[in-house]
Amino acid sequence: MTEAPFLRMEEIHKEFPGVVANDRVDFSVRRGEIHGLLGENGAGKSTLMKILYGLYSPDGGDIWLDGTRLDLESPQDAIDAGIGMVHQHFMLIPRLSVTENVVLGEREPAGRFRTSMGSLLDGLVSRFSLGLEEPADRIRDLAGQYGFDVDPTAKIWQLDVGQQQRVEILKALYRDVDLLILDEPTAVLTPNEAERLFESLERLAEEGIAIIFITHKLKEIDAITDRVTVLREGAKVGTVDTADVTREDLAEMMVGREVLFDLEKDPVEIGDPVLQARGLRARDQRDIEVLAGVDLTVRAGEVVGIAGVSGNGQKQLAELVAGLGDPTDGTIELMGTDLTGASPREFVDHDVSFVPEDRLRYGCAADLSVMHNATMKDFRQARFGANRPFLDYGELREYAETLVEEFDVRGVQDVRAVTAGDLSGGNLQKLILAREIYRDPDLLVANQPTRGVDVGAIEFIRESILEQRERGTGVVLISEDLDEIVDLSDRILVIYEGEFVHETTPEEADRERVGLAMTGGEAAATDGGRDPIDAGRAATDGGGAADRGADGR
Amino acid sequence: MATSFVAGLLNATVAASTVLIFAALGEVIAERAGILNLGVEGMMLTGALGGFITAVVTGSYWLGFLVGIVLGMVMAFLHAFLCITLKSNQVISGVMLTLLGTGLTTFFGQQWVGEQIEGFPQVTIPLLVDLPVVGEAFFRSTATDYLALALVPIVWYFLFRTNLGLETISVGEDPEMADTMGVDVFKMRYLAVIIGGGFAGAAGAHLSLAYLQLWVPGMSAGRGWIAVALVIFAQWRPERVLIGAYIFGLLDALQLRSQSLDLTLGPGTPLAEVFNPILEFVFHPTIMATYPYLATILVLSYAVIRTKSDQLAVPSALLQSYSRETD
Amino acid sequence: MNLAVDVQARENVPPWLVYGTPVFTVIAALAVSAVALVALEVSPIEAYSVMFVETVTDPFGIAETLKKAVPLVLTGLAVYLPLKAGLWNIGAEGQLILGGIAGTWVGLNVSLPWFALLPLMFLGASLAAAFWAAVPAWLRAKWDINEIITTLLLTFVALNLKNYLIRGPMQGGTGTFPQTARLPEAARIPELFSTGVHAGVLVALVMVGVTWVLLQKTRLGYEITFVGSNHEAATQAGMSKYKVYLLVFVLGGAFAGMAGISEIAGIQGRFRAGFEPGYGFTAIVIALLGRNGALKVLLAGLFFALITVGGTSMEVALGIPAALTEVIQALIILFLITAEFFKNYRVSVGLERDTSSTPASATGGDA
Repeated sequence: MTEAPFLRMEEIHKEFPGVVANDRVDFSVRRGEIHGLLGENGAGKSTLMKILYGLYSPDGGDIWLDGTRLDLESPQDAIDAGIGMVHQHFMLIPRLSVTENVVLGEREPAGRFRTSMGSLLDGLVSRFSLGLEEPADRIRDLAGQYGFDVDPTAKIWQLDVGQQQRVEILKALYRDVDLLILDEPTAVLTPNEAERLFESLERLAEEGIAIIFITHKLKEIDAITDRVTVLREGAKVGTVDTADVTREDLAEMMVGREVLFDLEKDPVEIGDPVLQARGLRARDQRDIEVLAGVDLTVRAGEVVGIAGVSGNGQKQLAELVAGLGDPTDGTIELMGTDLTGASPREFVDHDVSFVPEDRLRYGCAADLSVMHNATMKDFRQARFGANRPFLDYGELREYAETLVEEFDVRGVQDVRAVTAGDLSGGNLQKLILAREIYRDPDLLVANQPTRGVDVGAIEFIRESILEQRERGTGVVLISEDLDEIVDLSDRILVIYEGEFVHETTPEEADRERVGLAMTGGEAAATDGGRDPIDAGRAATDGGGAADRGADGR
Repeated sequence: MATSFVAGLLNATVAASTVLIFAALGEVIAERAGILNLGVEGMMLTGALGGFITAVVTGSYWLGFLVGIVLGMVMAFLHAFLCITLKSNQVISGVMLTLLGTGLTTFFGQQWVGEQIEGFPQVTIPLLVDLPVVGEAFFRSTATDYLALALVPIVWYFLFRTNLGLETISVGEDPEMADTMGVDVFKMRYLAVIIGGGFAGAAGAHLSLAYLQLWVPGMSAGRGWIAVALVIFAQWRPERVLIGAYIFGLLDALQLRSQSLDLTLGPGTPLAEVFNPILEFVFHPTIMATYPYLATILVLSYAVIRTKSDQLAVPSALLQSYSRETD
Repeated sequence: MNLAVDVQARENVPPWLVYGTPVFTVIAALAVSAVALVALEVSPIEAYSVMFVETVTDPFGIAETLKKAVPLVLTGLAVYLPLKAGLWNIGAEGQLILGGIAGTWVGLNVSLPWFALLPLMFLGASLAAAFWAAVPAWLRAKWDINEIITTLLLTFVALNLKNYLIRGPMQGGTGTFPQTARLPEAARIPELFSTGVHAGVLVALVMVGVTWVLLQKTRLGYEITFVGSNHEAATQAGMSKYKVYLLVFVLGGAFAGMAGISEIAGIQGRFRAGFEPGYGFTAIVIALLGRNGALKVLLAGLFFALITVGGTSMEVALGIPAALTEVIQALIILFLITAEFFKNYRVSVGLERDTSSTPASATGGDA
């Protein structure tokens, strides 16, 4: 039975400086359908939904809801149109109560002041009173209806994460939405809580509400979606019925099969361990555990590639082994020295280099010159005047110029005049890489080193990493780009939900299996996933246990 | 007699607190919405001079009071425009407005020094004024004194029991969240700042038309800054503003009565020689004048260090300008 | 038809805007103040000529300007240095006062010949003021407590401490006036070559030089610059934000202390309870105008000294309240802030025919 789509987004186009976030995307959803939106980080899912919710305005394209063209200039317009959004990062005010958070913006007057005597009086009354009792009752009803266990009078800071998410959902339900968008809702839930969420969502869909479910986890797509749309690098790859595809198909659509480069990788003699990290655990600001006991050993001359979708703990792992922040548990040893809990300075002094994921935030000072940025880790060295009162700026300049030349950083006429912020993404990354590599580190941690970088620079960066490997540096390479991992690594680890769930080498790597592991397919294989092919694999492999997080070859 | 001393002290305290109550309540509203206004001192002086001139020229102190409020709102509008629309640094903008207010009022106010006005008369509330000790202090005051007192529960009700108040608090806690809920962040912030400025202007007008009933350049004597400190001390709650205003007002009143105060131990008491100099120092009126500021620093430090981040009394988005499409 | 105002973040700031800004803001401030002058029925031309031209062409005027510049430049540096690290020192006034008191105490109670006494006074002043600045710095470095509020509040504490000390334990001289005793000859800063300007000018110049060298040439200066630009990247690179925050405030406080004692020992001769010059707030403006270099702080300080002295002579000659200089200062800040906005954003106003999609702003990115 075909149905005219309830929501139709046509040719949506959105660009930001340097990147096309949505490349003429078509997207439609039917009433009563649970429609999955799948893609890696940077694929454009969040942008597309922010456009739908009125937070961003598109550069091109139209949105049709139930046959009417929508002109959304603010979230209020989206709310008025019956669109609700449950954000990944909760939008709740901890100090206020559940009811106050839910009711904000609705301007319901207090019960005893309700009038129907004309809009002027209504307007005044709704502004200058605050209705909390009736809304609280209604919230209780809604919560009961969908199986949420939430006390409307509780303050948000008193609730646990699962409950807080339910409040987020209640915010939308309270406004009688016709279309509900959920952005990676299970990121913070336990499996049980996720189950209950899915049950509630199915009930909502039965009542005719259209639901858009953004995720990167294949098991969730399997669990509740009717159809799924896959985005990659800003463009739509396709829309399929969930029942008609396997997880492998979806992984392939999400992650891609292009082999861009042919890199020369010489065999290198792998030496002693440079980094030995054991049992690393870490928590994020919401006190959720993001690293659940990770062991990582890297040897001199070895590139260990860590594949995974952003948000599975890689960022914290990278920061920990590079010296930023302390683990809640576990040890870090560098060339035999225990550096657990040491300051960033000690890591730098022990020849650890770091290319961070967020290059503008942690990797450079955008307002300062190329010279400053090129020397920020090494300015204390003797050659720059460590034993004399003054810093030898002449030497600093020369050093910067050397880096710029050897690493082909373009756009730098004068290392003192051009700032890091003036450089294009690719050239800035080359500069950062130059700085981190030229000091000949023992350990190099590179997190998404080629993200947002133009093609020419990508090749250069990858070759530089391989060269450094030949010089005996141990490299931790974290990337969402599977091709990059396969081309550069000696060993490949897949991280998912804070643990290593799969280990392999480039020669033995089964592209699809790795893709599956990245999206939780591997984990589901052991709890008897619904995909018949997968269940078969689980029977013959004896599960993924032998592959988990092991290291110690 | 001790009781008449206490009664006199109480009277002075209550009288001194009104200016602080006006200014601090207004600043609570502005800061709850996320905007720090360091221009209170300048707005106070502008309200004081504007109100005074109006009273001299028209003979009406009520009109003067109104003019004072309006002038405060005008200056606050400038602050709002700079901080909200132009996203300027709130500290600089506030300090600039204080400098501007102080400079302009001194500049234009020279010629008005020495002018006489008929200011707000004392209004007695019968029966209650006869209560011992507290009667004279609380129930023989000017209309603006009563107004300030009445504003405490009104501001409390506004912030915590109305939808506009809820929205004001939300834009100061998490403007992004409020925006996604359909709240007009810019409008609420503008309103909060302008109302706050009106309160500051009222404080100044009260100063020149009711409390001191004269005009002298710089007559606010730092009360604007004390009000800013008071807001922090009161942890952004209107009811605590009242208590804090009395405490700060008490210290102010004590300063003037230093001669009649003898808080040292008698010579016969053991260790009198050791403690007396310390007591003299601690209770010295000039030293006591620092206590509001020191207390505020302590309260602020405590709030920041000891409290979990999601329970901080400080409005979470204070000093942050908001723009929809930034990461 | 709609009026559409499009605000777009600039990628590059045109040079004329960067260098012209201080000049434009000053001109604009003077122009607006001219309105106030007209309101008082004074010709702005006449007033400004007294303020600027006459002061500069008169040797006495120049001497007065130079003397006034000393504390202004020093407090300007006291705000400028922490600003380089990204911190606001709003408490320069309090640091100045306490430094002046400490230095005065040394001058009154220690007997040494002038070449030993004066440096000791300056040292005492610097230490006291540095300590006063270190407290809010430590609170910020260790617990991230906002230094704007703490430095501001401590200023008022300092003023009250000053009143207590000057009217109490440090009260001296003949009679019971609220002031200290006169500083002995050895504790007075000598005059330079009978120019009428005291040697404090040299101190100010040297400190400008010290600041310049510190920031431009030393490792510490490099770290200060880096921490001020992006303290997260600086931490990642191994620099210590804690150390930098403390040091810039300690040094800045010391500068303010020097400003205080140079005023007392160079001009006042004794510490009067009424000494509350307000340089601490002017210093904020000076530091902002001189944002890009210690030399510019020097120039800005000289400029403000000029308008302050000119303001006084304007008052004497034309009866205009000297408070106009405060107004001009405030207006300069106002126009500086406005110019900041135009440096960062390009605003275009146009007419729009249809009411469909509004132009997209250029900032932002995808998670």
